[in-house]
Parts: sequence; structure tokens; C-alpha cells
Amino acid sequence: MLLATVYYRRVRRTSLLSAGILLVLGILALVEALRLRDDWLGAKLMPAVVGAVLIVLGAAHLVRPAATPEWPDAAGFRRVALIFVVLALYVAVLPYVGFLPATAAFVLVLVRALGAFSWAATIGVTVAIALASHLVFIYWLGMSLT
Amino acid sequence: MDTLGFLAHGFAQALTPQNLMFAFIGSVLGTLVGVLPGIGPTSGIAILLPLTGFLPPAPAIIMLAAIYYGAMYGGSTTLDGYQMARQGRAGPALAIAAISSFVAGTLGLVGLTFFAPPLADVALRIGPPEYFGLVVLAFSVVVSLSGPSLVKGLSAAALGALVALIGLDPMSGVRRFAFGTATLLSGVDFIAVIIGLFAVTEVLVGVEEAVGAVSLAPLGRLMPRWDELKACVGTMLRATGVGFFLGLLPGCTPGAISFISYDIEKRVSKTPERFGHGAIEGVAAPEGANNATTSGGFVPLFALGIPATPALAVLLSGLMIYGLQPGPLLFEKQPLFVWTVIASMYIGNVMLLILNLPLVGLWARMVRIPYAVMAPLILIFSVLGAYSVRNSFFDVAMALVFGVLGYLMVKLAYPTPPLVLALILTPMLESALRQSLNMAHGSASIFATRPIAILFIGLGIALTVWTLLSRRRR
Repeated sequence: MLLATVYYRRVRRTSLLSAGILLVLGILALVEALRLRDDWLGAKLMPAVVGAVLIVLGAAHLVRPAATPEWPDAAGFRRVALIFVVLALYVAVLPYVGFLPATAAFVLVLVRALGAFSWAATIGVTVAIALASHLVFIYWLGMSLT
Repeated sequence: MDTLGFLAHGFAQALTPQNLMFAFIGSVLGTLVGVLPGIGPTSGIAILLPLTGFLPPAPAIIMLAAIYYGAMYGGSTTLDGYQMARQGRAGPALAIAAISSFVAGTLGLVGLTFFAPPLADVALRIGPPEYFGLVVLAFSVVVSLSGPSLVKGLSAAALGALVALIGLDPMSGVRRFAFGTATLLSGVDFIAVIIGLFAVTEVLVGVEEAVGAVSLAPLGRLMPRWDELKACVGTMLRATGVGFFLGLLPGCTPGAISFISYDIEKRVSKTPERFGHGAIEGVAAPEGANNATTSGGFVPLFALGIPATPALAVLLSGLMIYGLQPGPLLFEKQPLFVWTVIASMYIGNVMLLILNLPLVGLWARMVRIPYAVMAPLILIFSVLGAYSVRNSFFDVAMALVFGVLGYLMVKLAYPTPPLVLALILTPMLESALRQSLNMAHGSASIFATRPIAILFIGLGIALTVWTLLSRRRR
């Protein structure tokens, strides 16, 4: 019985969240449609239609609850979060630090976090990936990231 | 000039050293994308897009197309392929997959060669209402891409439609959903969204679990027996027919078409009980249908400018980066370009056969590249790929945002392909709809007077209903 309640609550919570997001976005689209200075058959048309559709779909979420999502275990989730934070940091410092040092640091952290490599192998892989990508993107394709 | 004349000109161009080289590079990259874990055809083309940045249009699109059909090639992942591998016959399974892919892919290209030009010719004479009908038909693919929950699939599509509306409205010049910022004014870049939703998401899902080593079955002897090959000839032809013609319809996805082709083969067979237990036809049929569909998908892309799959949508935006608008006018204004690309696809199919048959062991070994090496590579390519389209870090940030969104969508069982298709189809739908309404001074009755538009819309509805009914039965 307790299990059933917990299950029910988890199911409801995720689909309530999705429903909420869709409803908010739908209302946002309708408000934007009202705000625009153009015809209802012009620039206002699609925002209004998409807004209405979003609201209907959000409401549909409230009627039919979604299945329980399969979240990863704590260790898995920490890994996902770590990778994303490192990726975001990499993108944030890329224009200031320069491609090669930023990429080398990024790859080092990632390979260390993911691989069962020894330190020597980790550094070898890091140097290889950083140098190869520098060669292809910066030297060969002439990309500039500033 | 007739079709064969154009094709001959195309071959003359496609056989120049530069174009040959980029068809080859694309085939190799596509094969890699096909075998490597954590990356699929759609994300593969998207993150490899910057590699073509310095090229003229023809070799660039030749390479991108080759990555696409290369990634769809061979790669036996079917039930019967698995069973053959368990029986120590992984070699013949991979070989028949490659041969069937080649035969059906090439015959599909013959179909493309002769179907696309007349279709483009017809398309030249249709107006906005008919075009609106076509896009509605293309939208019906969302239902078959929806997976188990229709509400979730449609929600994903609606989200994509909303993102598509961000920025300056090209018809009226009105700013929509820009919230007074300059960055949102130019809209959210399609490639950045694709890279986020497919490549970044795929890595985030992939790192959840420390991926173990992939075990490999011994290949056994490579070539199938002669009688097996002969038995597969009819299979390949049927697979081509099924794959190509169903592939022309936007409502049919390669996965569904492979399944239909397998089912047909099982019904035709005199010994259907072998299917599911390592029947070689059970490998040849879905692999062939898959590649015929890949070739067939280029027909609506080139002739109508409508992508049938998310991967073709990436190719479409690759074309638009070069200012080439796919659609009926492409055949008229850029005949040499189109025919060069089509001819290169015949050549690419031969290259893929050679790459896949004798070198199959090499690709099988590639699967062993550790994920700790793959993940940083995919992410570096993702960051630079998202950046390269408009040289903008805003696009990279968008790729990260959509990476997280994609991760949450995967976890909550929302399909991502409908979002992508809605993102690329919504602007087409909107402009066709508004132009149609303008023609009739704001009255929707214009559609009632256009039989071809009604036909397309009706087809779209019929496909949707058919998909919904066949889902219920399963």
C-alpha cells in the first residue's frame, strides 16, 4: 500500500512538472501572439496555434500520468553532472584561455573521470586528442574561437 | 538534355580527384559513425559539418551525403544477424548485410535518378496551398516517430515548433520571442539544437554507466555460400522496392520500413520458421530496405526540399549554409551540382562495398575504442560544430541547453526526433500557410479549391490514422 502511494506520487510529480512546463510555454506563446503588432493571419498565427497546442498537450499530461523515469544511481548521476559541469566550464573559458590549453584540461578531466586508465595512459590519450583536434580545427581548418 | 545526359555530366564532375577524395573521406567517416558507439547518423553529420566549412559546395555536400548513407550502411544489428553471429557465422552475416546494402542502395539511386527530376518538374508548378499540403504530409512522420506515447511525441514536436518561431519573422519583419535581446533575434540555430539533442545528450546518457568492453564474435569465413547469395537476390529486389517506395512517403521511418521488409520476406519464404534463428534473408531484407530508404529519402529532399528524417534535415541545413535551397528550383538552377552529388552517391556506394567487405574486421575492432576516448572527442566536435555555423558562442550555449533538455527528455521517455522535425518543418509550414491565406485574402477556403493540396493533406491524415491503428494493434 505504501509502495503504491510512493509510486503514484513519483508518477504524478514528473508528469505534473512536464504539464506545468508545457502550460507555461503555451501561455507564454499566446501572450506573445497577443503582443505582436501584426495580423492574426500573419505573424500572430503560428505563435497562437503553437500556444494552443502546447496548452492542450499540457492538459493531456494531467489526465494521463507518465511512467516512472529510470534515473541513474547516485554514482551515475554524479558522473553525468560532472561531465556537464566540466563541459560548461570548458565552453566558458575557451575564448579566454585558448584552444589547446582549455581542450587539454577538458580532456584530462574527462578521461580521468571516465576511464580506468593509468595516469601515464591518461596523459598519453589527453595529449593525443588535444593535439589532433588542434591540428584539425585550428591549424588545418583555421577556426578562430574568440 | 535528358536525365542520362545530366547524370553523365554529374559523373564527369564526381570523378575529379577532389570530389572522389571527399566521397571517400565521407564514406570512411560514415562507416565510423555507423560502427562507433555513442554516435548516430544524425549527430554524426551535425558534428562533422565544420569539417566541410572550407570546401566549395559540391565536395562539401558530397562528403556530408556520404557520411549519411555510409552510416546507414551494413552494420548488421538484426535479430537474424545476431543469431548468425552466435552460430559462428558473423562473417557471412556482415557480408550479406554489406552486399544487400550495396544492391538496394544502388537500385534506390537508380530510382532517385529517374524519379526526382519529374517530381521536381511537377513541384515547380504547384503553389503555396499544395506546398502547405506537402508539409502537413511531412509532419505526419511525427506520429510514427513518437514512440510509445503519442502525447509525449506531440509535446516534443510542439516544443520544436515553438523554438522555430524564435527570432525575426521573415515575412513581416516582426520580432517574436526575442524578449528585447539581440542574440535571440537571429533565432536558435538548427545545427546547435541537433548537436545538443543528439550528440551531447547521447554522451550524457552514455556516461551514466561505465561502459564495459564490447565482446566480439569471431567472424568465421567472410563470404556467404553461393546458394545463399542466389537465395538473397529476390530478397534484395523486394527490399529495394519496399524500401524505396515507402521511403518516398515522409510518414515512414527507416526502422519501420526495415521491419515491414523483414515481415514480407518471412511471408514470402517457403521456410518461414528459419526466421529469427539466423536466416540469411532475414539479414539481407532489413539491411537492403534500410539503404533503399536512404537513397529514396533524397528524392523529396532534392525535388521538394522536404527532409524525411532528422539526418536529412541536417543535410538540408548543410545545403542552406551554402545558399543552396533544395527544392524544385535546384534542378533548374544548379543542375550540375545536383547531378554531381547524385553521381557521387553511386561511386560512394561502391566505395562502401569495398570498405565493408574486405575491411569488415577493421571496423569491428573500432568498436573497442574505449568510451573514455570517444566521449571527449564527441564533445569537442560538438562544441566546435555548434560554434562553426555562425561563429557564435551563443550557439554553443544553446547546444548545451538542448543537451540537458535532451537528457531529461530521454530520461522521461520523450522522443527527440519529433522536436527536430518540427523545428525544421514549422517555418516551411508557416510560410506556405500564410502565403495561401494571403492568396485568398485571409480565407481558409482556398484549400477547398485546390484538389492536390486536399490530396496531400488527406494522405497525411490517412498516414496518421494508419500509424495510430497499427500502434494500437501491436
